[in-house]
Amino acid sequence: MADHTDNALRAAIRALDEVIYDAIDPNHPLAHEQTKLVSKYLQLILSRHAYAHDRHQFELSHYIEMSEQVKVDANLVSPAISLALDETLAKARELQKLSSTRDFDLQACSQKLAALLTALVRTTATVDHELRKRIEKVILSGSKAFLDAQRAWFLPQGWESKPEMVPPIEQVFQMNDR
Amino acid sequence: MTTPNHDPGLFHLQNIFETDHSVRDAPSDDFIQAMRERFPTEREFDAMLTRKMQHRHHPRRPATNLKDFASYIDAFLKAHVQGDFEVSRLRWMTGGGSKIQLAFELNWHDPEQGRVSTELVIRMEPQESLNATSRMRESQLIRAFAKTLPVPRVYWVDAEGKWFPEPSLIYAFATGVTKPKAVEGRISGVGNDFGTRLRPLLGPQFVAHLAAIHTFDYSSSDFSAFDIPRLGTSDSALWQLNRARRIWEEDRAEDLPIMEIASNWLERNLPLLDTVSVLHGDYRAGNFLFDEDTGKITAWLDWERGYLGDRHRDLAWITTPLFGNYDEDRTTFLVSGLVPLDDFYEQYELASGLKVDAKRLRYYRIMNSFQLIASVLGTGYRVARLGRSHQDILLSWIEGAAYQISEDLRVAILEEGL
Repeated sequence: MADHTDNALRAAIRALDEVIYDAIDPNHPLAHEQTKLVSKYLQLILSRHAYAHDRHQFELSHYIEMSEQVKVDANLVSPAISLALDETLAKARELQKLSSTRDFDLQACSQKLAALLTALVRTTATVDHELRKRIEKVILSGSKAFLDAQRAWFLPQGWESKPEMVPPIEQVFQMNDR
Repeated sequence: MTTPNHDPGLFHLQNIFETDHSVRDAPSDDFIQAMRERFPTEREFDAMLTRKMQHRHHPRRPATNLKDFASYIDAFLKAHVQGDFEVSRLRWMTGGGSKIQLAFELNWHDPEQGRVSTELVIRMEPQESLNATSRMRESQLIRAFAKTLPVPRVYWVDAEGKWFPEPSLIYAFATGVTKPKAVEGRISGVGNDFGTRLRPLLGPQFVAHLAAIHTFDYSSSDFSAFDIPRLGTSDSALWQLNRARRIWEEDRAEDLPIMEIASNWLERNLPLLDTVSVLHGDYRAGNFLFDEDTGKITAWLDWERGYLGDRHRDLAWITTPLFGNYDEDRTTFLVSGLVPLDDFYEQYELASGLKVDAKRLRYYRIMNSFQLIASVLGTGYRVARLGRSHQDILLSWIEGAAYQISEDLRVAILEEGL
């Protein structure tokens, strides 16, 4: 069965831009502004929804990689966090092996790893200076790929002062191909 | 090696996993009190954030329509205006993501001018705002600068939301535009392109007005809604950091480890205060109006984030990459789209007589990034999730701005050193 979603999204955007916008009360600038934003948000979804699953897989891979890099140090900081990381990493790897995964499960697992890393950083704030620096450096350095991916995702919105510095969306999820 | 019985991670694990959507969507009194104790900040900031969290229990209120607003205005004016009056041309305005704004004309007896028709603006907090700020503070700031800068005359304040559904400010309608008419506007004026004719007209005013704010004698005006940080201490930086940390903790949708690193870094490196300045708090293109023909700034608006503290916070905010753009050669960064970055600090020092300390500037650049991310990914998400503002679509849209800022934050901390 053909997926008509793109067709419908384009139709919705045309309806907003060509029919609804001109029919809005001219004395309601807020309504004009919001109609344009709704149209732009639909355009963003239209250009990005084909990559949504890749995005969730990428984020899980990102947090797995980051968690593995701090795992040894985590055990020195907090055995409880280390244990939780081990358990969640095992589940995350299982998810990666599945031929079919739901975005919801990928997101939940990524967020759990992010929460554990957050707990680790909070705990390291009061521990050995060198250990803290090592953990924070791994997370800061590793976050570049994650942020690049988000910037590529939202690039059509026009926030970037130097858009040419942001990698294209087709490239940012290549981490999964390794 | 940490022993399990004394594992410091247990507390943080429990704290982070217990604070989920159900807690943030409907915070208990205990949670609110814990946030207040964990992140002490200025009295008025604390009052506004506490009010915000306490009101999350209230059912969602559908958008207020013009007819309802007309009745609120009528009731308010009957209580505040002597003699007869007539309200006309009540209409919606745009103007940012955090406050509901309407304009109207009031024919009345002004005690200072006699019988007049006055163009007015109502600036009201939505049920929950991107910035939980104080109308009382905003009104005190605008009144303080009435003789120093182009600002609208403040007429009335409904600080507690007694007459309107939420706290409101009524001030004079200011004429002017936020961007050249021929240029397509960006959200909230962020990164506006002023072009080569307007830049040399607006740029010097932009710097001079900032210097006037930072050198203003606050002791000569009513600043009773503000706390004054102690010189030689880190009060100023800590209050601002705690405000941002509190909203991140109260509002966020997800955990971002780099935000924890930034929070720790900011606490470890709190700068000391050398001079207490008045800060505008959101000094940038989009928050001033100007006459497009003459290039004269006609009004400074949106003082809601103003406070007394370290000028470097404003200076770092103004030079945030998100708020500026590059000139035609794509190599010169223009502060707020107006002044080349290399010239900006020099012109500011000349105009204000105050020094720009590069180290503190770098500190506040990191703090500003932290605060922006907390607002956008934290409060913006939560308010839209709960459907509490008139601009939920805008608050959803701005998510995309958070990641360039996050990258700036990440790089800045690495450059400063852990």
